[in-house]
Amino acid sequence: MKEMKMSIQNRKSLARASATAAPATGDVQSLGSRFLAVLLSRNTILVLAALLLILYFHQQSDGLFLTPTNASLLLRQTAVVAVVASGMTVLLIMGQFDLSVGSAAFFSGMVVAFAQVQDWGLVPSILAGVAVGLMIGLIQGLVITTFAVPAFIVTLAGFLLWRGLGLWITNAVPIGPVSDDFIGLTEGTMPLVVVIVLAVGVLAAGVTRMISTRGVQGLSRRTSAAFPVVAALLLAVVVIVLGQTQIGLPNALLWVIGVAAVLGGLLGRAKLGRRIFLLGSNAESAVYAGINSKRIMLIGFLIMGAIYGIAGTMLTARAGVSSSDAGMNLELTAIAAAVIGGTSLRGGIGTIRGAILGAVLLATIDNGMSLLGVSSYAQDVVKAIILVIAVALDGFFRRRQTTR
Amino acid sequence: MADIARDEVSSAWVAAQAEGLLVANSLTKTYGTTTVLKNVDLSLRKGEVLALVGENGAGKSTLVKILAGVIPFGEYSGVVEVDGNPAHFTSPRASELGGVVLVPQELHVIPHLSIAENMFASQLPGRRGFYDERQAASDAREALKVFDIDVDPLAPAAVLSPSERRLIVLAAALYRSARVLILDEPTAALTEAEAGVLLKRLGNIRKAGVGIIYITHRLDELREIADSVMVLRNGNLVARYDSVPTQSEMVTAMLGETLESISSLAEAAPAERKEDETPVLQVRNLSAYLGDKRGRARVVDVSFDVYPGEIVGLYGLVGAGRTELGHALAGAWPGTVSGQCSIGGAEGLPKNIADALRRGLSLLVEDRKSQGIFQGQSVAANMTVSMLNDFSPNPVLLDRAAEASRVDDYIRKLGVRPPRPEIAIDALSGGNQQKVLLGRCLIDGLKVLVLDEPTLGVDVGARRDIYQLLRTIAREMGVGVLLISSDVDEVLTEADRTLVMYKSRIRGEFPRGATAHDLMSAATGS
Repeated sequence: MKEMKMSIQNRKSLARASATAAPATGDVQSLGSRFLAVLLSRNTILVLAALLLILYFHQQSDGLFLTPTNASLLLRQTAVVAVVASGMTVLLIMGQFDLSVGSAAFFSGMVVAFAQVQDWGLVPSILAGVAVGLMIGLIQGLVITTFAVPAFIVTLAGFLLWRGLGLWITNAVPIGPVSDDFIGLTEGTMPLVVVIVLAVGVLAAGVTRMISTRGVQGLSRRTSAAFPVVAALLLAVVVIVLGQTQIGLPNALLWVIGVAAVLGGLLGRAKLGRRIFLLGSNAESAVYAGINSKRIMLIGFLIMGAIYGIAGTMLTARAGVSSSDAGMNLELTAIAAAVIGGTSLRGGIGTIRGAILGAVLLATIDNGMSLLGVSSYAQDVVKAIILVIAVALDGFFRRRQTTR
Repeated sequence: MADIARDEVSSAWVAAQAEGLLVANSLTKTYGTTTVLKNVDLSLRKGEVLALVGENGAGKSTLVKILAGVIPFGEYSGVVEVDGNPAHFTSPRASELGGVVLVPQELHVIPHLSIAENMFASQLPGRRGFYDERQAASDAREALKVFDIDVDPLAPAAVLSPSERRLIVLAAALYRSARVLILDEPTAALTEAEAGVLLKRLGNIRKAGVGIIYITHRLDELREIADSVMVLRNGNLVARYDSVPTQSEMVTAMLGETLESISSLAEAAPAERKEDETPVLQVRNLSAYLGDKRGRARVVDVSFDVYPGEIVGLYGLVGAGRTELGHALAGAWPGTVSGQCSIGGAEGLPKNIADALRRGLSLLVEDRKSQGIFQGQSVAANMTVSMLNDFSPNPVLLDRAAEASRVDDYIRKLGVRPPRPEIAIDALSGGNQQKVLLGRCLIDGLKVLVLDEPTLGVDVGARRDIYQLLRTIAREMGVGVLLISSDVDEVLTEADRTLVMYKSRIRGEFPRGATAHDLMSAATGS
């Protein structure tokens, strides 16, 4: 294959072809328009929106918002949604869907709490939760792939089933309390060593990204190569500053980073990730290209199963017990976060980074409005409006990009 | 020959106008700058069966769409008259009310609805706004008498055979006092026996004075059914016969003289087959059925060989079973496949597409848009999807550097314009998209390449590039290429030899240098 020689393009036909080709967009773009493109990219807008909101809330709350205490609370509130939204993004990219997350995470968290009450250790408790989550994912995935029942229906059934089953077993009595060590899994503060490692890691990631952007000519021309380094530097400073305060950075952040790194790596660097994008983009073409779509769907729901276990663990650690309303509406918040972060419900498009930014934005609004004393009913109205605006803007930018 | 035909036409038209049931004069239809129908006259008497023949794209469909109101009045020029009155149909519904009914090739009979509901779907009998089932049943029973079909009109349509489904649509049309029936390829999806029944029943209709316009690729049916024949080519009426001429005469008219000389263009060196070389693809008694083996067979008892370095054409008209054969070979046929197959010496039919790819057979599908490209994904991702394991030995990780160099290599060799792997494939022209998909087929260890209509919707420049690439792939990589096509010129110039399919079977093999006439005769059952 490698040694096949094709000399089909003589100079004349090359010239003809390039003359008729669509005008290349990246090569001739001026610095100004490139800057504008970066400015108008979805993630930049999300970050800017979050920053503006933070400043607004900070000012309105008489400086309460940007305190280490509140920042820590904000991060702990965001964590579960960010983890679940990351898993949801993987499913949405492959054109699937999961309504059962909240209930399944509740069920897994209940199992974790049972294990804690039985005086199991930290790791066995977590593993029990993840194992139960994987079982749920396996059951739902098998029903979806072997009986060709739409994921919407199967996970809607799961939405009713897992919470119903859990409440039936426990009679809606909270299970707990869990050990203080277990609570520390998300609510505890990172030691300074971990904070420093984290800051260095963030910087290293930024630099690697710059190098790989430079290395592949033509790829991501629209973002400047220095951009990731600047962002990483800023982030590292924030990490150090917050990590050094009395309150510090919550451990919950580590869960988010771990899940995001694994799933981000899967989507960006694994063969499976490539196939997930292609399957979601056009399922029929995927079949003709030799992709085993059923296997990929099953793996997707298994990944989501692991997420149930992790989210359940985090929910139980955060509350200190497994309560009957744990994870309520989690699926809807996670889908909203993923969609705000640019994931298409039609499949084939999405990033983990976007989903996490979406989760942060939603949590910021939640937290800020609570600080300002806005009623939780009004908060729902605001979040609904933001969701619709985000999706509408997305359509607008996409059209603008394709018509250019 | 064309001029003579023209004179015949106008005299026939004048004569027919006196007793004409349906008369059309100088119908012309253009889309933008292309004219698909030019000054076509047509006349149909009561009880006459007029056959309309021509190659794919000759203008037959456009003509009947005008007559049946699918192309509304005002979007074409020319005059249509029914019984001497101008017939300006603005919709299919209007044409039905005017007595002209088109029965399309693809019937939309809904299996779980009753026979009566299917028959009268467009105007269900009602009583005070509710559907009157009893009235519908008695209407249907009355209508079905014409064809002696004895079924319960309230039974679901699923109980009907394909020919009966066609007959109930005809019966419904006649019951609504159709004067002119237009049948588009009524026998294409039917077996020989079913087609016989249908043709016999059509005899009853014409006795009742209904005029029939009959479109078909199956020229051998015409002697049995048709009174007169019109031949279209490139939107022109090129001949009209008042009796059914020999098939050879019709084929010549369909192709025109100019095409005969095309075969002289084929000057690229033919493949040299070495003595006692083993075929890279060997197919024996292959049949493909819809569903299980009791299902309808779309490919019947096909046997052939393809040798390394050879381009074998597979020619046939629409519905002949070419695409189905290609799918069966690639493990992409959803029903049952029987027979023997050996790819590069390894026996066995591919179980699925991934299995075919592992064994060195790849398929370029016909429907580029819905089965080929991944919209919104990069050129690179589109190109490498079937070969990720070829350049990424790690079981989990994708070797992105290896992918980038493979893609750059292919883009250069295939001449993809613009040569940018990162842009979405949607931004490319049809021809360049096709080159990317051709690249996808070039897996490591490729032995057999099956291409289904590779130049459909591809501009002339890219088409020439693709032909050149195919020759390079065959000759320099020793790949056996099966080129499925409904374009006579394409197989004549590009294939080393050509198999012709007709009614699900291979009806002939033609060496290089055969004429378009030979192929078309075999492809129409002559």
